[in-house]
Amino acid sequence: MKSFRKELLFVIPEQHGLINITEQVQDALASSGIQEGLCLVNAMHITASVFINDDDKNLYLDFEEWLDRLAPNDPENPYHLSHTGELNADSHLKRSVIGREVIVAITDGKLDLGTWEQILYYEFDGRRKKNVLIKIIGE
Amino acid sequence: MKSFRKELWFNIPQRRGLINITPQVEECLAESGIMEGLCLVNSMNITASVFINDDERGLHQDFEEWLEWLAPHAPTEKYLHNRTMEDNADAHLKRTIMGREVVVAITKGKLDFGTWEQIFYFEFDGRRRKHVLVKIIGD
Repeated sequence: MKSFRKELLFVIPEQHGLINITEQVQDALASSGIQEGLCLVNAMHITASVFINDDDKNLYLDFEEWLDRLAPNDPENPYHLSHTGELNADSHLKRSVIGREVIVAITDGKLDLGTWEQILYYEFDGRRKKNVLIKIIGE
Repeated sequence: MKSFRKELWFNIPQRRGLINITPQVEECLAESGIMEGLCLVNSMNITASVFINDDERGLHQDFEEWLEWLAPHAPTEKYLHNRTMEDNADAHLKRTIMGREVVVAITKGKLDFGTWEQIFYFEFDGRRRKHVLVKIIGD
């Protein structure tokens, strides 16, 4: 069994941001030489997500509004976490809705994705260095 | 390719509870002898979650209150599922938000985590025996 590991590094200039990382994952797969297996892509921070969905700007705005309704960031109504000085409690909750990781099948040396599936990195607490881990196993 | 399997058992004395299970998963990994691969940790019951986030008490309180707001336990009669003498419909919904499983990369014999990542078992319908599966594959 072969295995391959790579970290992607990001610094999103705002609090929130969405990046399509499908190509970077494809590059990692090509480097790995693995033809059949599984590819894990996960956020290494607990205030960001990796998920699969449509790469559409309007959908991103929909996600932003929806997540703000589900897990608001309201200074008038602080979370318990804010007692530690952190103000990013909502980032932990939002990332729980969207998820930490995806696992993609590798078939014939390619990411076995449906037509519209794209791998997306969703930052909820940006303006600092954040990492994504790619781990591929197979043959 | 090696594989390793172990079940972790819990009996949370309240309806809901959160346990850091990272040390138990690390022990499984050590026992497995696997150095490179993937580690799946999933809840085997459909009213509990395994997820990764911060080991901070205020945040845990935030999760508890937020999930109660999103999918409240009471009034139990408003849920169709609870018409079958169950009272845990909210537990099924809460666990869907928090997730069933995590997959962690194994690198050089260790869980390949970012600085703050910890694995948690989140019980939503306790006071009975529940289990988590740890399945590790690799070399």
